[in-house]
Amino acid sequence: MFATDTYHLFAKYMTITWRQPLWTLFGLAQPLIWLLIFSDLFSAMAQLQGWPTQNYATYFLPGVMVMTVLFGSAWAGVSLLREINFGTVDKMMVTPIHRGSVLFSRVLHSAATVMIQCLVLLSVAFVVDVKLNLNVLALVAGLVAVWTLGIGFAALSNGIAIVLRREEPLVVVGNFLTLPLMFFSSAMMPVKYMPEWIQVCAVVNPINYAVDAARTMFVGKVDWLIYGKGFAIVLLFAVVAFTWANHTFMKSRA
Amino acid sequence: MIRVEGLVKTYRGKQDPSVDGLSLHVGEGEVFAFLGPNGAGKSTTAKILTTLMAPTAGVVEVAGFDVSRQSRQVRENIGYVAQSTGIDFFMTGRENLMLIGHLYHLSGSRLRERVDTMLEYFGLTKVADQVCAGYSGGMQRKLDIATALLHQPKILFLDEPTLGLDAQSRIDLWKYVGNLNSDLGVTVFLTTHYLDEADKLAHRVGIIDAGKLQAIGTPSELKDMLKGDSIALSFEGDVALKARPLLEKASFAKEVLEEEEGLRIYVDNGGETIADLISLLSSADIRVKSVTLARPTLDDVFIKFTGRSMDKVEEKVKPWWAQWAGDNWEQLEAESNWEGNKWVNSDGTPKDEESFKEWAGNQGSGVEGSAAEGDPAWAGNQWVNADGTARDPEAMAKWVQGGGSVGDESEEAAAVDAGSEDAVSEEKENKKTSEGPSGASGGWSGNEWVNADGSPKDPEAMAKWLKDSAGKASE
Repeated sequence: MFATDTYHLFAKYMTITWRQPLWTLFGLAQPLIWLLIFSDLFSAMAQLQGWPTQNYATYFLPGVMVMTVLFGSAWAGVSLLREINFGTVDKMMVTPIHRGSVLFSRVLHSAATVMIQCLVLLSVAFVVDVKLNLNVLALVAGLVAVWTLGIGFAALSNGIAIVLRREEPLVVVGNFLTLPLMFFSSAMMPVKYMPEWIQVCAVVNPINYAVDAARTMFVGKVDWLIYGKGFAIVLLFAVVAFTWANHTFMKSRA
Repeated sequence: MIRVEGLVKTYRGKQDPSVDGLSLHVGEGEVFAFLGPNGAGKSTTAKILTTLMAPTAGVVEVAGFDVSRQSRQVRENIGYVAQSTGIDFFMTGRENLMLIGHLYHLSGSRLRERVDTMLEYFGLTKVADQVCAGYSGGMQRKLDIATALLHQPKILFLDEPTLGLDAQSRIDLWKYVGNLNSDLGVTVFLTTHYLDEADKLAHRVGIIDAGKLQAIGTPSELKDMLKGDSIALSFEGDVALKARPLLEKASFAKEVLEEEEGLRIYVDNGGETIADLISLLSSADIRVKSVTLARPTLDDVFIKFTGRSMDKVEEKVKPWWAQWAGDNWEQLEAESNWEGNKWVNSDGTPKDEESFKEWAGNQGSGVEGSAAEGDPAWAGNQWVNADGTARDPEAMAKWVQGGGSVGDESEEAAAVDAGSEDAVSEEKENKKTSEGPSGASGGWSGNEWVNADGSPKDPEAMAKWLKDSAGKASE
């Protein structure tokens, strides 16, 4: 059964994560540190003419959430390589489980850890004076979009890991992808302030739409149209990324 | 239980097949060992049999199901223990078992019952709720086997089950594997490159090299294909020519060969023949300098069928760029995990004398006999060829000189001073005084206690003997 197999493996990964106290500490603290530093560092930007929010922290909150997703999921493939090397994957694959549950439980777990970080972010955002939307439906919708993006990126990372088969190049590729994706989106500043060539890049950057969808749900005016467009793109990205990763995974074992 | 016909596996991007036209049958309740060096294709075969890899061509049926078309049914009927332990180190032993149980779709009280049974069977109940990271290698391997038996499979696949384990854990594990077959009636398919392991555990052995089955049969059948035991003689003075016709006429000699050091005689039962041989020679007034008896080992069988020794095959070092590029990581990993050749090069010279001595010392101070029983790389045929001649006389002489307390072991293995009473009593002296690998002296008494491959013939008798000789020493 796909659902139960996925559940048991997911539970295993969660157990392992909670038994690594360092992860819990640094994993939860890191996005907070980003939020604190960036809010202060770029606080003057909010004085720009036509800046969409009251302060920079409010503007940056959705950005830091997406950033957490990207940085948190980009390394998801490293542990897959480790599990392959340790024989853990073989051990799963000789059992009669649904083949798809091996990767799916992994990406669900990656997205879940990112989600926990995001929840912590949301709950302490008021410290840096973030003006959150207190609309529960909007907040949930925003988190769903972030979660979906997490699944997509974790799947991408797992797929790349299988193609590269080595940790070092995976880290290089991760670094190569995440920062440009961040800067070529509205995570840190509205697209309208960017140079033209970056604006062009932003149009084809799925992260840009994810940030827009999250921003309209978490802070500022709730706009379901922007959200719908952003979520559709994120969902499509996640489906394509997972399908590709799983295909690559199964092919690698043939 | 297992039927393989014309199995071929060629990895993508490779020209030569890793498994090339393999056919074999394994019956119900059998322990079958697949013996071969790294890269011979045995792990590949195991992976195909366990549905982890698809065959390129051929028919493969496991438990009556086709591995390609009925992989799910195959998986339900088999357990697999891979080379690298697949357990999760951050989870407890019990959690590991519960998880795998869930993956085999067991649940509720039935699962808990099976988990408890397995923990008890493998003596892990005490540590069941400790995180596996703290387990010893032997415990991890046992837990690994336990997870593979949870669902009561018909066939258990063990891929290099004692790879990287210390001597004591290996012997411990052998007991379990042997019992598994008789206790649970499970068919066991194991791959190994340890000759003693195949000899000790398997009902039948298949020798694989370069992806092809070279020979198959029971260990004794395989050894019988050779000419039996060989006795190497060297003489005081130049009397080999005089001794030769005498020996050729003797009823026990199947064949007599001339060698640089002396003569080599092939006989049916070496142990019983030595006395006759010596008396025959002394009656003709020929003084024998040394006598070495060698039983045929699976290594000899391997040499016969592949034309090279297992030891020689192991030393295949990957070029640095292949390591960097991650080419063939599984094999790399297997090589790095493998401890057999940790202390000695394939030619028998020690890699690092200091640490070898330290290691040998540790072995000796532990349970007596462990070194000789356990580590084929050490007690096995590293120093002597099957025929008893030193493989690399110079390196060996050097090692014997520097080896201190372990020195007597190699002397014993190399040659028994049959002509002189003094030498024999000296050997006994060694036995009494040396606290080193005293088990090694088991190898001395004309192979009475250990097989030529280093495994004990009869562990109980040997323990008794060790106790007795210790008693004599204190008198």
